[in-house]
Amino acid sequence: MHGVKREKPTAASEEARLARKSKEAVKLAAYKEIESKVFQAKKDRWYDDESLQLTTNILTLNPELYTVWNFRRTILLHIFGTRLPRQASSHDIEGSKDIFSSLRESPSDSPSASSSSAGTKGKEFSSRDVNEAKRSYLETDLELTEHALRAHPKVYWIWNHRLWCLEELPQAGDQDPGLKWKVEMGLVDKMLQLDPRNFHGWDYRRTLTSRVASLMREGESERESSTGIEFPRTLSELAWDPEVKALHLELAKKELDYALRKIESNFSNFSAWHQRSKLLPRVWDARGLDEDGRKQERIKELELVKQAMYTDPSDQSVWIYHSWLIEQVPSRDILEEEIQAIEELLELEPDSKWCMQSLANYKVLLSKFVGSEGGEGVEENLLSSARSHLEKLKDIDPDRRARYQYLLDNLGRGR
Amino acid sequence: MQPTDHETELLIPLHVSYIKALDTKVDSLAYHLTTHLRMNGVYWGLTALEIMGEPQVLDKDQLVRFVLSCWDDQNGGFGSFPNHDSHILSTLSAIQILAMKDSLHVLEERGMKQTLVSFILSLQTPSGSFQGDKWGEEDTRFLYCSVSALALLGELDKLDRKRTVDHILRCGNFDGGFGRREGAESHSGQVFVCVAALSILESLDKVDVDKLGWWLCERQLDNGGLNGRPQKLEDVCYSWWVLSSLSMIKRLDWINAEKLSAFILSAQDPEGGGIADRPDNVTDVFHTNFGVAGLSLLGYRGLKQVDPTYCLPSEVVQKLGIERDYQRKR
Repeated sequence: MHGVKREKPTAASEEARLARKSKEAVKLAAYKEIESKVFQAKKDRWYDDESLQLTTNILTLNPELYTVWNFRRTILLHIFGTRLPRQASSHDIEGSKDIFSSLRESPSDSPSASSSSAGTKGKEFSSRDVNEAKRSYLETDLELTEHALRAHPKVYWIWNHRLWCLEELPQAGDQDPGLKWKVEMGLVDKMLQLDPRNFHGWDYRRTLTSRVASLMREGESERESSTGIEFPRTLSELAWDPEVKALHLELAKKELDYALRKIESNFSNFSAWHQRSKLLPRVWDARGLDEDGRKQERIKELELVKQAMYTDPSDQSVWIYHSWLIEQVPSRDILEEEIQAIEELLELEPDSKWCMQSLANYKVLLSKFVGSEGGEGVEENLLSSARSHLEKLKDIDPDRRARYQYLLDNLGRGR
Repeated sequence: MQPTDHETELLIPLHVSYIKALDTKVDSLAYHLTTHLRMNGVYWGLTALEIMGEPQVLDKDQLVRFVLSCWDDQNGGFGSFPNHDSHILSTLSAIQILAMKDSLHVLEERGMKQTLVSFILSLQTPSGSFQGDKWGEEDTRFLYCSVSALALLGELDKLDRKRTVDHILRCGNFDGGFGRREGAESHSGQVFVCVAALSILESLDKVDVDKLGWWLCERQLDNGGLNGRPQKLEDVCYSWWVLSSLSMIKRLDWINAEKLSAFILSAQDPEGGGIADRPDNVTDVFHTNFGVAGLSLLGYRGLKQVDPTYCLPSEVVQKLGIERDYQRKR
């Protein structure tokens, strides 16, 4: 149980507990009844609308039942592959009724559910009808999962099922094949507005982006083969068709902007900083920037980080990201400038452990430049200043004392 | 109010009876709503009991029977409960339970072993990642479960190590940590699975341990507890994910062990038994196990030694001859 408060049993709550217990017994009996029906249908391989309805019933009560999500997909695949629904029945799931009536109007009469197979359905329905029926089922599932995710945004199985539905969803008519992924982006936006750190949401967003990116690559299947390189790695590694390259770059920039907006609304959004760290080097690769060009980009990014640092110097997200920017290819002028800026911040915040950690780290890095370019005295000054930062850190951040001692023991080594 | 024992002592007898009682609640709604986690739950409960030195509380024959009853004949792995589909999450727990009960031989005797190994290997994709089952979700958790399961079965040779290691390294991030898949944010749980898999595959030399150690030790908050990601709340289960990772990369002293022990102890329920995610919250067997395992790794007196790579009692891992290097608090 995550985050559920414990209640102390008292006389009053003991009574309540008994009342709850008897209510629970009723619920339990109902649950067990549905459960046994679902598992019996699964065992009997009963892949029809009635079984589908049973899975809806139990998944609404318990969305964690991965076996039932599996069963639901098996039913759907069976329905898509071997027959089309014959007629609407009283337990039909909501949303599928329109398509049933349109199918009844099709030239040939209802095929028999038991005898029709994938091979025969073409004779009875046009592929457009088949797609429409499939869409109708899958749209019901998209509704079901959207509802479930609102109540359980962290249940992996729901996200999986939803993604599967989208993969299976055929496009309507001459619709843009990327439309379903773009529409889906709207849902992720909502999820990430509610919880801007939900890693399911961020992962899902990356998956959607990569699907959109795949569609931009002509001649490739919608879902790239798993050996294939996916966006954003495509920006670094693929031999480019200039048109596709431009589209992928545009996509990456959109995602960078999205992360930036999240950062601007809250500098502590580590998920968003992470996202930038994944995209920026890919964009630089795609633009064919040389080391100097990359350095200019890092300087631009450091400006953004600086605002965040000054806003809340105790926020580790910013400092971890800062060190990544600095350490990629350390350069003397950037180190000098950043050290100066952080020294100024330290004057305002004399006990900031993040200022001190960063200064110790960057001074050691700078000392290597100074050392190789002569000036023993300067180098020794930098190291001794780093040493005093680390000594102070041992006092102000005693929980991590052993790490600072380790850094002290290794100071100036590896030159 | 006087300070209570649970602030300074691990209430072993109480936790033992708490775990024992879990199996008697078969008529509760909660029991039925969690069948999808039952195999994992049994593994958590048994591991905690083993570490607390009370393994006999759960009957060996009954445990083996339960595990075998969850065999998925159609797909060739273990489900979480009889008639549930196989998944690598429940499959690893099943193998771990058999290993703790010195019963891995039943797999061979029943002709299940080769099917099981094929099931696990079938989960690997061409890019090196692992799916949880045939439905396609990929996650480094599933990779770890597969690698650990193959090691426990003595079948690691059948794995394409290079492809596996390359995939893990592609899941690495700018902060030194690892995520669920390529591109995903670092998370302590994912760091544990990636580091442990690399350790089993003898490839920890490919990790920047100082950088990773930095990110991991910054998971400790002032209250002693550890969180899973920056700016998140502390949680007892991260005592395990962070601590075992630090142990495998030999940076165990980079956090304050006393404060972490105190935090875990403060999350005990001194009346009902068990350990919760945080003080005063409802306890469960998952947090009870990872709290107890964390204390063991911290050298808490009176507990059996836990192996950080496999989250099993050290003696079980040693007996199988698959132990990897790590650091333990003395």
